[in-house]
Amino acid sequence: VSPLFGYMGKLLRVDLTARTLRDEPLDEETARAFIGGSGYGTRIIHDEVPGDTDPLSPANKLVFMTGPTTATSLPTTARYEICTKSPLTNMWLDTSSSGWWARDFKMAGYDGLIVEGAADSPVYLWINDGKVEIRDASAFWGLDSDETQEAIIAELGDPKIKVACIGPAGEKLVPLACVMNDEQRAAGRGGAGAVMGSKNLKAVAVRGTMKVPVADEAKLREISKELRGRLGGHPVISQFTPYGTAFLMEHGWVSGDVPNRNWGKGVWQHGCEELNGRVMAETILKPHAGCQGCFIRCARWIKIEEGPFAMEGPGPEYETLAAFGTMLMNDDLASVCWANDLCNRYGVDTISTGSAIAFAMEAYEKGIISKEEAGCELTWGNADAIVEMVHQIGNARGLGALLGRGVKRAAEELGRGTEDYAVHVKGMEVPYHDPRAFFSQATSYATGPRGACHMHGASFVMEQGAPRPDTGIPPEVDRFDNEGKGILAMLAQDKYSVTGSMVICVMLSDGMIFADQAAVLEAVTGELWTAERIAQTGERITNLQRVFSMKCGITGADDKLPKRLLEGPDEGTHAGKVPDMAVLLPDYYRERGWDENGRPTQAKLEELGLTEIAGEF
Amino acid sequence: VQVTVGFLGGLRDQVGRPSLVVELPAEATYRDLLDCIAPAMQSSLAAWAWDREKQSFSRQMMVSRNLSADLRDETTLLADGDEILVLLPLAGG
Repeated sequence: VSPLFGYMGKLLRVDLTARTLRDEPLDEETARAFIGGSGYGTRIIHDEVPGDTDPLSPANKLVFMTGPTTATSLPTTARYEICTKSPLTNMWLDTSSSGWWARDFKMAGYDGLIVEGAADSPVYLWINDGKVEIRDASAFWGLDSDETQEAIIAELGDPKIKVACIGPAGEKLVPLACVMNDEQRAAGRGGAGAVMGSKNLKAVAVRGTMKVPVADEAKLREISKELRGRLGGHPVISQFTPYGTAFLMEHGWVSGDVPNRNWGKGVWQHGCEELNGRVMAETILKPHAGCQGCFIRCARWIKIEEGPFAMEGPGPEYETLAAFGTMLMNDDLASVCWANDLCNRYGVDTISTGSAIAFAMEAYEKGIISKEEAGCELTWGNADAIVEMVHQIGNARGLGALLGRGVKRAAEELGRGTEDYAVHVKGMEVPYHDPRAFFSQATSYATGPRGACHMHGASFVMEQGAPRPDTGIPPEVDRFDNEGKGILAMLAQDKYSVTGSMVICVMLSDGMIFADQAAVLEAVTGELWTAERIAQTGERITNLQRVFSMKCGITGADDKLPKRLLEGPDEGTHAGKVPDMAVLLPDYYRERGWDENGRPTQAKLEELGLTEIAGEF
Repeated sequence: VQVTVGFLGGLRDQVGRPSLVVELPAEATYRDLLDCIAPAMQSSLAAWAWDREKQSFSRQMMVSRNLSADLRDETTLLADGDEILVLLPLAGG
């Protein structure tokens, strides 16, 4: 077996209960089968975390993983994945962030970090070119995520240090809490921040200067150059630079992609015209650096000169504009920016937070929640009320303490019909691409490895014509067909399983086909990679995530869309359209080689090389 | 028959304006509209947006008539005041 390039060759295992540190060699067999990132993390979580583990107990583990492309010359690769059992969904979770942190972490000598146990007082980790310390974080407990990073960098005395941390929401174990790093980059979904808080781990500070070994650097640079050229002129990817992901808002109201009023209104043209990337670019956008090594630079930096929401800092991307804009019928761009900043400082997921507030606004409108309970007039479009609810959720107080547990639990507690408009899958609030506009997305959401997710299963992008020449799928499909969508959902999920394992940005991978991913991995690792091996590796990772979630108690009966998304929109090009899950789901299971209950078969697991798991499962 | 053709997203930048107002004869079809705007589209839109062979918006474009349905059938009769919206639905974020 030839040496494996692209890895630092070791993982750091930290037991916070015993306060011990241990270097472990990277398992090359696992790296060959699962690549790295969320794939390698899947193997760790599956093998080490029993399905019945309480996600907020010391028995849960929190795994930070880079991939073989991290800290190489390939663009968009300063990313990391966090894998754990989610306190929001009580099953598999991978969540990813960009910025700069991952590059320094890997260059400090590690491919990954496994955190287990729980400290008896607040601590942070300091990883400096192979040297690791567990340090007291008592002085930083209570600081927001921006303040935490500044304070730790000041304490350690090197401005080049990068910090991933939790804000107050993670400390208070809010299940919507994220892990934040650099300029408000977030590993946002599913509550990894609460898991970190449960371990009394405030932050992981890193500084690294080591070089990542690459098998064929000249080839990798050639591939990178070709990708820059090809994708820089891509009709969609080229829009991310001037307008960010929010360019979608400018036209998404026509296709029906953008949800409004807690998914209850088909079209809100005015809102989309006030909140889109072009408007931001023409009014509040300021020049600023993107993520490390990225030529796309979708990240926004904004300055609002005056008014109650005057601020300067990172600006909202598409999902956040939908979360605090169209979902809440709020057309005030400045207040959306303010809510975004608050969420990032508290360290809560903007998608789920916006969805929880939308749910509460509908409950308020229907008289289920009173003004006294809300602490404000929780009416549609009320920017002050939106800001108040973000404070409540971030501080786990008042109504926000309930909403911060997610809409599924909030509806279970409130009852009185609120379940009908609690929009989630398996407890994960649905991100803002309407599956009634692109039916494959209904399958992707219903079966998503971490619940409803537009990252780990962006089949709507494939359905809209993203490149897929090496998949055998015809280039054109009718967005409202129910037949034949299972393969799209499966490929989108498996492609992300690879993307999250390499670990690269979806903005890049959306423009890549399997053969592109294979070429990159071959240049980096020195292994023979083909499009077929990429597809099978993605399938292997997704299946193992499914197995883990089933061990956590998930069944095929949980593969469903919420009631609200099975009601046809009232207007728009998708008016009256409803995905037929009775057709979509069996088609997907067939494509997956799963049984009629959504369970991976023994034959499928053995085909994917998961033989010992097949026997035990 | 007066029809407005709106261009959204990156198409607006390519065409150089948000919309065109087009005068067509009575009982004009979508094909008639395409023929009328073809010279302007051919000179301004990229190949991924305008199919030069078919003299039509390319298959990956979404064309909506009055925000009610996707417009594909070129024999569709247009009516006075129709608003045709053209966009590339492909997006992420």
